[in-house]
Amino acid sequence: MSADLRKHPQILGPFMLREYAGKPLGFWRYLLAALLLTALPFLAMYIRSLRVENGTELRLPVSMERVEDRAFAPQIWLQTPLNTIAIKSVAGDNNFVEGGRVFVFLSPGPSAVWYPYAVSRRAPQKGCEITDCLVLSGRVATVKQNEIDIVYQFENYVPSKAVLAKLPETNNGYSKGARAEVSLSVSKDGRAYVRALHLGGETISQPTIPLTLDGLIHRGESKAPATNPPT
Amino acid sequence: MHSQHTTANDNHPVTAQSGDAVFHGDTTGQASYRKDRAYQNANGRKNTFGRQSAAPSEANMGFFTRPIGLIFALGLWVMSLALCFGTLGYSNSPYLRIFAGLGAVWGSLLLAFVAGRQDRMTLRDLGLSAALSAASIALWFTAVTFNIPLSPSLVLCGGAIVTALLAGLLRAPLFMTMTSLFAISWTLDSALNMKISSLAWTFPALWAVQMFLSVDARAKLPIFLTTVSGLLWLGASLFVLTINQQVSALMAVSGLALFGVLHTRIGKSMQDVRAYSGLFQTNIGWSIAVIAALVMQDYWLSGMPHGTWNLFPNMSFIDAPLLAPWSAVMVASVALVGCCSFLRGRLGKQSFLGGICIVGFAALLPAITAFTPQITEFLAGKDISPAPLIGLVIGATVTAFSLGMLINGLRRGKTSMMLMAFAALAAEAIIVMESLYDNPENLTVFGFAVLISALTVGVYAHKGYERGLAQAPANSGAVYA
Repeated sequence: MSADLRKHPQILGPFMLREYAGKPLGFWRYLLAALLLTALPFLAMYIRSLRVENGTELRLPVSMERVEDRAFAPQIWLQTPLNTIAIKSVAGDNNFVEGGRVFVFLSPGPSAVWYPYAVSRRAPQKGCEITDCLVLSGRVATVKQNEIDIVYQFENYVPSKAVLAKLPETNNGYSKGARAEVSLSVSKDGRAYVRALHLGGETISQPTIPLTLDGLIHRGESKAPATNPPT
Repeated sequence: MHSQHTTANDNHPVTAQSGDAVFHGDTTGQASYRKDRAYQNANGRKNTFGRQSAAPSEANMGFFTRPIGLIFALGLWVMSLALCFGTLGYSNSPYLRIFAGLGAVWGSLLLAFVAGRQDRMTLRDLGLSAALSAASIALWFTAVTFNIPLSPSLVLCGGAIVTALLAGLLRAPLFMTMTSLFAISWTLDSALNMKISSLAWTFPALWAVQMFLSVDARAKLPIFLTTVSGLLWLGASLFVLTINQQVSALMAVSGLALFGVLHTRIGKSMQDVRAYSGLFQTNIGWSIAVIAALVMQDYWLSGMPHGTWNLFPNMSFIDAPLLAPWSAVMVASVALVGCCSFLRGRLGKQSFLGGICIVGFAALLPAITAFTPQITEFLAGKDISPAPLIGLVIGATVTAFSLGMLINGLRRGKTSMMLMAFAALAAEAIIVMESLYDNPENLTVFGFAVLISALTVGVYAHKGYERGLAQAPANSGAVYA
């Protein structure tokens, strides 16, 4: 009977014997699969840490709202004054389409406050140094009559449990639009990532992993002034 | 020497000559894959795409082939899972949770490896599923700790890519099915939000990998799901681009027709090398091409937007923002059709003239869309209106190809091909009838166009058919048109 059953691989299923199963896969394939799955979280940590640690720090006033959408993790929406720009009050392009790229140029003004002075659909040329200007790249969310709403990369903030626990204590009712400050790390290509949140005098830094030996990777030293355009 | 193979649910034993493989695809391809490997080991033959299966040294793996090895792996797996769940429940350290998840990944893969060595496929799939779940847990905590927003698009696209990589590495039909499901979900997510994902450019390469792996494993379910995901992606992307006024509706439909022709030719090439599901891919591509051509014909019989066409934004070809990318993709697709014809020609399955004809037919609808003003001007010089002439020409082409499909189906005894041909002819009759009834002189135009198209199809099929007939063994199922 068992000899007959062996001729029915569909029936035997998981109990297949070696001569019917053929030679199995090599150990190295499993090893590679394990290394791949292990590398993914570390790669994510490394890339994120690299982006947060390098770049120019820019501190902005921010209001926070809990995102109630299809996200897989709890998220907070960070709204800064730079998310809405009156295009008639700045230089540069004035016709934008929803979903299009936009580059916002910031420059130091009086009292060391950085203001947006131009918006453009094209990336800046090299030579726009961080001491002279700062560029944020984003996408146009909505176009209104005189202003545009812009979404950068940093607005969707995934808070850790510790941050979530601190938010209601430091800022009552944060989910309705609490106010605080956010430190961004702005890279040379205009991408911005959250470096820290400042809530009621307490700074909640974004965790990072040690990147490498000192000197191998440049750490951003430049720092923009504390407040950006008043709302 | 004869050996006897009996399939499940089959009371009639199938007798095969020694050395002949009698393979049947199953739902996931697992059994087929095992049989294939067993056959290769016994006969030293290569699999579908000419690769030998991995054959690691048996001497070093003795421990893992014994029951004690399985018990050891099971023990380690249970311990790693317990550690993972314990850490999730009682530890507040995100790093510890990430490492616990990764530990469970290694434990689960060890179980999958040992189960695979002992051909316990259920346990192997359990280990693989547990490894993927544990990796997901580790990635989720990484995202939450390091402020990485997980959008549905990113999760689904990432899931599809990672599972495709795992399917390639571990030759696991489970992952092939999962990667196809991820791809389908990703496409549906984009379609429901009426937005093209920023990662959409990865889809064609991902789809090609999925299809290659599924066909190689002869796994029916992943092949079906991958085909569906490709069609969904194509349809959804073109629909979204049309609604968002990036391309015109005619550009979308003619592009779909060309992709259908390309799919058909790839299916034909697959049949030439006896790749699994070649006929299925050919039929799917043919259906897509014919449906798109019929839709296009419906437009050109009146020459202006009507009925459902009014639901889409009216945009001229030259005003389309994606004019240049569309043109580049069309040229590349026609070139690929030419490559397929060239390869078939090298195998003696198609003549040079046949290849030229196929390329011409493939480029017909996109060319009509792109050069509408020039065609209209040319016809106006001869006092001919482009509508319904272009519609009748498209209809005649569809009719000729349907007749060709019908004859091919009769010759090969394939009911599916005959049914498809009948359906296309019926649809064609319904669409063209009103035009012929209103203007009986159109019947002459239509008849001549059918005749010319049929002769062209006959000429290009003839040489290849004769060559193939001389080369192919009886009942081989090879296709020559």
